[in-house]
Amino acid sequence: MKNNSGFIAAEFLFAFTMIIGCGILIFVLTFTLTTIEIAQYITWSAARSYAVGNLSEADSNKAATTKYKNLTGMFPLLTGQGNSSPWFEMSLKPIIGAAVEAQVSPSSSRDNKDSGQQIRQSWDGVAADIDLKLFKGLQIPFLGKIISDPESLVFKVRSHLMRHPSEDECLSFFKDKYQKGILQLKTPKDLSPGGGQTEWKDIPAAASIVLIEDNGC
Amino acid sequence: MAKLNGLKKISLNQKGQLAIEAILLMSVLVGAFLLFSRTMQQNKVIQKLFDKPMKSLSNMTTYGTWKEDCQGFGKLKTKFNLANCHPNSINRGLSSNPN
Repeated sequence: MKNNSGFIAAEFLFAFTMIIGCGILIFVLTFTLTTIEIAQYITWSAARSYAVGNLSEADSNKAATTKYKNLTGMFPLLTGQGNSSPWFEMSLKPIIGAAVEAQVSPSSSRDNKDSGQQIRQSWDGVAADIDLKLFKGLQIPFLGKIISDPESLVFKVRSHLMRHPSEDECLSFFKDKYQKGILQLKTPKDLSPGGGQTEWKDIPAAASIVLIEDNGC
Repeated sequence: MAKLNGLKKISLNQKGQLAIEAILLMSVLVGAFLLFSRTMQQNKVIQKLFDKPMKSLSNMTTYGTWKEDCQGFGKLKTKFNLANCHPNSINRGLSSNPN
């Protein structure tokens, strides 16, 4: 009865298990939150590459894809570098541009178009999915799974930074205005009362002009 | 007399009492723990603890809002798509469409 040897070992084992369990829970939670931050930074950075002016929309798209691949490649736990990562899984290929717009923009933005049928409030950007596998698989003994719907732990991470007009779009904008505006000018003679509606014949065709824009394209 | 002495000896012997009490105590404790565990699982206490914050976090990464539902102002409190609560939905008073 007076022999208490062994009590400390039992208490140590109990406390050790509790501390390790709580430690694992806190580690998973903090690591998951940090990884979400990293995933957000990656999509934001790719959206930034997509946003800046480039030669064409396709070039912006390519720049965003390159940036996304480079950054995800820096975090093997996110993508598994081609293999299936056991902790997190981020899309190998991001969704870029108009596809993001179609995915998220509300009807109030989609219907808000100008006379040229262009959307005024753009939702362009980069989106990717991140599967929080580590958190999904967590289970507390005797208390069950930590989350009721595992599919809710596949987060969609989106960054909307829009896109500046590309050089192509800028040039075609000027050529379009030239076509619809300057080329439609009438000769001074024709503008006089009783004059005809012929075009100003001396104005060169759109294909042969050299554009000099104020701020460049 | 010899028989009576034997009984007296048995009744004075307390060996085993601790074991029986330990088993009883353990049964009660294990029972209480199992009841606690089952109640926690049935009421989804742990899931409730994590579901809501993770949903809010998901809404923030997906729609840029901490809200669970996007509701309009006024009496009707019309429910909208969560994207309507995204900062990008704020009317920016565009010069091409002044309000």
